[in-house]
Amino acid sequence: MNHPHESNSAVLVETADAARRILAEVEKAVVGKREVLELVLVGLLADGHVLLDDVPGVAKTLMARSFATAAGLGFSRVQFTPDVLPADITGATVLDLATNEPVWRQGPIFAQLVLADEVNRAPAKTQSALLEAMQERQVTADGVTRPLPSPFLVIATQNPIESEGTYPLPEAQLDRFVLRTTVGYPSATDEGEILARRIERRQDEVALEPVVTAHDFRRMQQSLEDVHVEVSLQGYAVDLVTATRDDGQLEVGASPRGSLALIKLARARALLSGRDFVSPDDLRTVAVPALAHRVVLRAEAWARQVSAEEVVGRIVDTVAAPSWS
Amino acid sequence: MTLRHALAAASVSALAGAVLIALAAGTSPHRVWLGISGLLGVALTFPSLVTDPRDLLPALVFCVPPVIALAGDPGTTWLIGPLAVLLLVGAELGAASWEAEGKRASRGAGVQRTRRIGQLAALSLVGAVAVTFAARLVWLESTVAVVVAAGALAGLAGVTFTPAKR
Amino acid sequence: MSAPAIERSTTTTLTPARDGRLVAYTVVTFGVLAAALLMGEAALVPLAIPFALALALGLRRTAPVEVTARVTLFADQVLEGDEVEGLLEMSWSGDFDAHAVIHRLRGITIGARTDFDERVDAIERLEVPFRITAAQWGRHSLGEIWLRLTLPFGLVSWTGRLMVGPSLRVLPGAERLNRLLSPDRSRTAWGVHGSTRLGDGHDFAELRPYVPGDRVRDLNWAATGRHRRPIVNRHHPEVSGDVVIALDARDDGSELARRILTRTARTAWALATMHMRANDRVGLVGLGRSTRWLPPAGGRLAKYMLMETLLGIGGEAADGVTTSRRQVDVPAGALIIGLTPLHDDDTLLTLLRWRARGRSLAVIVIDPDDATAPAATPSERLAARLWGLELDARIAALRRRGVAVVRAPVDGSMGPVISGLRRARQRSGRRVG
Repeated sequence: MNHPHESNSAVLVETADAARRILAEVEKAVVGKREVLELVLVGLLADGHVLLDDVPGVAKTLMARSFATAAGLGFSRVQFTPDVLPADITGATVLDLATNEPVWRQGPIFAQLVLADEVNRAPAKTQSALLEAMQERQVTADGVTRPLPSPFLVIATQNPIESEGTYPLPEAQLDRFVLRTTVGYPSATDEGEILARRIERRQDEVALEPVVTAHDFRRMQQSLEDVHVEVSLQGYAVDLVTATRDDGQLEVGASPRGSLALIKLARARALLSGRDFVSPDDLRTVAVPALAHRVVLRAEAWARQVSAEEVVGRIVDTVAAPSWS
Repeated sequence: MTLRHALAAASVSALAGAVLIALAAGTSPHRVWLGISGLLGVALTFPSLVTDPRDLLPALVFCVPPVIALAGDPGTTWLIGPLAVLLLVGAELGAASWEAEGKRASRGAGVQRTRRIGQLAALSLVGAVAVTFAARLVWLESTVAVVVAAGALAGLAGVTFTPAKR
Repeated sequence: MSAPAIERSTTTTLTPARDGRLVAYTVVTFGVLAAALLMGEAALVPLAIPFALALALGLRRTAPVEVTARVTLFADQVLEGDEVEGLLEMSWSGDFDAHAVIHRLRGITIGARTDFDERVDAIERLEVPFRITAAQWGRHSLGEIWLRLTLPFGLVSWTGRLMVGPSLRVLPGAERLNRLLSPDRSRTAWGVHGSTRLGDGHDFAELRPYVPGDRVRDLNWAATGRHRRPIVNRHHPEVSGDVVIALDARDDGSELARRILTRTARTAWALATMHMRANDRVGLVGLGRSTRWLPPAGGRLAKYMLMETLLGIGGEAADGVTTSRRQVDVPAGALIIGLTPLHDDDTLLTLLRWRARGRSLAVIVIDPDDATAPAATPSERLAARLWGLELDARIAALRRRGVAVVRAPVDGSMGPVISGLRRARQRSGRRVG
């Protein structure tokens, strides 16, 4: 009976090592954002879509492209603008003028890692096309359903809501992202390091090497299933999510998708830390990025400039974690 | 009674006390006029305590003559120093009552201010008595007194006119 | 409360001013000494001694004092009735008795009071935590912060206004918000709305053969394959469009400003609700800020967004700071509805600039004069007449450039506004929402 366990442990060690190598490779391009990179990798390992919420110019695109390269994933980028149509994302049937036959021309969504840049600049219908594909992991057009590649991961970025010409993502659609986080500007020291590296390599582009193949990455994602989650921690995840539904500052709490995301992300974080079991700290660490975008603030709380992150953070501080030694 | 009222009453009492003692002890033939001056001085204390701009000059100017009149009788000159201190205390209490205006003026601040007035009074009393006895014990020609007074006048003038004007 | 803190700091040089005792002590000292001099009476000198000592002690420091002050409010936006903590920090060189005052507070109270008074003895640094209550909605400045420094036994004092405290946005409570923004009369215009945006939408309408000029992206490849000739999709125009309501009202604490603010808020909400019901995307822009889109469902959040945008405009005015306004940009193709009393030259210029760029523009003039007390004096009457002429000239300038302008009625009803705008826009050959 020990054999499979040992085998699983070996796979987990291997996965943790590969994940660290991916991070190290991405860090060659993205300087000084270790925590965000870890969080994004945790999201990708959890087979979830990641939403980066920040102003332009903080290396969101570079981050997505670097992860795609390091993880050996096919990459495509869609720049959302107000006139992008759903067919521009998913693809359309076009007429092959040589054969005079209609042929399917797939859209940029048919990639393993899709960067949906400035997703909130597109109107609701276009956003829906992307978000439906994210959820179903398939595209249906002209009555034909076409599966998306595996893994299929989306890193979407959105500008702050008050920027000109933005269409805020509806709360229901935000739920489809496993986590939301911000990137933030680099510190002065890190910015100096960025300049020094640019001068040293004598070109704009950072040449990154694939650390694993797409197949390996898929296996890494599957190995999360071997990370043990104790029953008390499952209860803790439920308690956290339930607390969001009872909080006086929240109009709408997190859905069951929230607790599923919590567990997935906590497993990925445990794996990244080289453990084959989830700890309460894993859940606490991922709770805010996993839940804050799934809740809706009451108007009064919004008026008091309370953020969803603060409310979820407070819930994490107040809900008792199971004793753990 | 508020702290402000208490301090103002103490101020008026001190000035009135100084004037009354000076009038009672004095032997000047012009006591009626001195009395009127003193009365006027005490009366002028009231507006100086309540009106703006706050200025104790009229009150002090009219309270001082009865005390000056004590210089005419060698038997009462020793009273001049202590009465001067009483006048100063009256003026200081008046100024303290200005400071005590306002709803948040604390009793602690009033006590602190009164303690400082006490310290100033003690220091002044020592100085005034010392000068009084120095004038009695040491033979001083009036010419020397003039020179001392003129020197002090010049010294104080230098200090007094240094501050910026309002 | 974890809202962002706001702080303001300043360094001020306080010059000394004489106390009410200084002249009196000086006159008594010099007068008595002069009398001693003239009378040759040394016995008078003790009379001058206490006053001379008080002068010597009281004038030992007379140089100006430099004061560094900082006031922090640990929130910049609250609801009516909320409490906000604050901290006043001041420092200077030397041990002074300090007396700090925050006064002229509007709309906020400290405890049950509308001012603040703190006295301490002989210190070099003063830190005073305080707690204020947002009593009334609006944009309220913390008030003027004054400091008076005196030395123990001093005959001069250093008094001065250090700064005007930062301003606080106070949004109305839920009940007042509803009363403020939802007067019954504003409902008259609902349901009479047309599209504001022409052009291709996402909704399929029909197929038709390709003609030169059609976009390749509109080719319907399946139909083209079946018919063996290019066929394009045609779409319904979007039934909804972008409407940006440009707000121009500042809460400077005056009765007039407050009236304009209230009427602007009501009119803006009535317009926003109407357009949201017509599936328009409604944006708000306070002059000097970027566009903010209201949530399509409306509701209380949208109302708070409106109030926040409105109260955000007058930040500089409330703080007594004059700054030049940033140029505001709004999405191309959006209908801009300006709500303004047209008091400000900058506002007029911004509106004309939008128009010059070909933006679709309508203006509702929030004219508070019909709600103010009639002019009492001849000069007031003259001023009112002159302003009336100026306002007419400004409206004429807008109309000359094809801008639809109507005046908002004093009773807040929206029917006349909408029909007036529609007539004005029809005259200029355009449609309006």
